[in-house]
Amino acid sequence: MAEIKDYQTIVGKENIDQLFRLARRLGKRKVIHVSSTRTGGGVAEMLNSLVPLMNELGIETKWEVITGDTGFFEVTKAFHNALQGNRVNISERMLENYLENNEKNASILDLEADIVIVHDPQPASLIRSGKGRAKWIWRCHIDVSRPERRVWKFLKGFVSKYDASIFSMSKFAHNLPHPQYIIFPSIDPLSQKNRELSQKETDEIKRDFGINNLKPTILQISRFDRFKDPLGVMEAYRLVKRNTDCKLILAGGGAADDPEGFEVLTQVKEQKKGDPDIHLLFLPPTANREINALQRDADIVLQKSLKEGFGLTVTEAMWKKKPVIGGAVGGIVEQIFNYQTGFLVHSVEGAAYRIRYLLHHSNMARKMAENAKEYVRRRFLVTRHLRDYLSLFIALDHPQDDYISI
Amino acid sequence: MQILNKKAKTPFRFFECIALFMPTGKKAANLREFVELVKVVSPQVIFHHLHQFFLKGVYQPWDYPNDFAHWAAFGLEDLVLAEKLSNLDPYNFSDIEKLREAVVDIIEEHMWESPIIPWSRPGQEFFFNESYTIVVPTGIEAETLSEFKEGLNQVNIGSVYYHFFESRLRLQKDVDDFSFWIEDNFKCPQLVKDIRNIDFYLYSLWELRDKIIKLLQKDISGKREQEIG
Repeated sequence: MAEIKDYQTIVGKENIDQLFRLARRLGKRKVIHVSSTRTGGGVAEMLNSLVPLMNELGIETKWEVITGDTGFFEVTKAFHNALQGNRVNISERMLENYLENNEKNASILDLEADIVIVHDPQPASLIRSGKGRAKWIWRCHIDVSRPERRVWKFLKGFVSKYDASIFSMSKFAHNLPHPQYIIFPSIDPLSQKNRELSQKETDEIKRDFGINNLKPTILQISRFDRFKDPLGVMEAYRLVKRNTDCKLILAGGGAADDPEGFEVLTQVKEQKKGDPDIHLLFLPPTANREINALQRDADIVLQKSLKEGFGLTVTEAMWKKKPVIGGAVGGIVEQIFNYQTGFLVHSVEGAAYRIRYLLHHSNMARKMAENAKEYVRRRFLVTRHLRDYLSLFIALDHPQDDYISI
Repeated sequence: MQILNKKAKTPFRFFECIALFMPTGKKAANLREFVELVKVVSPQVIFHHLHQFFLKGVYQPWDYPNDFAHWAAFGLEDLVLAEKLSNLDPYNFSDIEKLREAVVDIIEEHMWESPIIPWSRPGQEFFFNESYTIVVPTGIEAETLSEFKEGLNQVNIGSVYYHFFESRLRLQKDVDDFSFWIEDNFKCPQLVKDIRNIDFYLYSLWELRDKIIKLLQKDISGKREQEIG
């Protein structure tokens, strides 16, 4: 486990000193994060890094995870789809199940703290069971810019009770009766998923996956989820393949709260149509080192999402100095500065064209990748995320102000 | 080299500035909606998008120097307007209402000359934000120019913003804290002049810090020592 001083060589001593200064200003605080899973997905990854670092800074921080029956995770997955704009069928019984499961969790979990941060819709209704003395913050990681009305109305009833909410982009924010903040997600440069790997480690992992041909590699790492458009990625690959030989790796991590993943994977398998240059890898949530190796070995990384909360796989690849092509949606537009830190695309054809372009212009690809790494260093690493959380805690102490000098 | 270690009357205390972004919920999909909102949003919103742009760490040599120009270029794909808005330096305005008026004038004049109203694609609308600004003393102080140079290397980049950009509004004159302190404490007229001559609107905060440190090195440790000694 990395310690905070280990980040000094990456972000500079001045940024680490700043974190300690802010933490000292806050003094003794107890913070509890609540999420729906400890493994798989961006939220769990971020909390795995943030929680120990917050403790090291002197902020007593705990991470609680809710539990639920199969029906609960089916309804929360349906919420996830609905909040990202898809029409879903959710019965009254399903809504009741959601509330019952969270009530059960509220009775089990110890939520006594100064600040409780509840991540995403799954545990949102915990607040119904009472806030105690704590300030409650709802941290929304998904793109809720055009949610399905009925589901949003249902959730808004609980979200409105919170003291503040955090969104990843201002376009996701809503009309809520409390202060809202924008905090970008982040990656941990020292985690298993992002730390430096030796060529030997990378080669071993490739060999284990049976990836051994020398054709240029196009990679998309994401859950097998419709919003990540794996079928669109395969189409783009086939358009590229007409002119330029290459291979495609689609590697997806599953998450404990995502029952839909296997269904999408089945469709993707059908579309593979026996092509030996398409590698489908269904990875367990713990496959961080493997993902790291695949990203480091890729020539081009895609994240052709149709909807995206933020898209941390983009940041990960940028940090590893890879040219990235991303769908111009959600937080991807905040990370990819078109033509400078990567390419933004709007269609299968656009993705195919940019892949071909980068495969034939390695100098351009290299320059973009260098820009990308520095961009991530300044804006999307865990140390900046910590700074924003500490600043937010200070802001919560002074809710009436918009400018404070402490 | 005496000037490097000469003690100041008052030490320089480094502060740093952190901005948390807060959405206002207001958005514009086309230029007409945008200008109408610019007319009515709070001064904090104008300040956030024009003055505090540098604090976001976004600014790169390839970028436009404020959020409005950036959106004109990438949201509306109206490069003429982006260029016009880039050239508007908010730090030339001591009154934010005058700055607002200048922005509105640029846009309305542009619309007057243009046969169409540019629209953004869905998802590329302009979202108006404001910020919650926190100013924190770093505990780092300098009594000599040598310590000042060292301090500048130790503070977070938000400190450069606070002392070089925001000072102009705080002090209500077109002067940064650094040169103000140097002028007040040391006889280094050339160094003060050089710092004030930096066209700071064209630099990222990292570049600006490097530039000031280089000026300090050049002016206090090298060829100008005889002039000031």
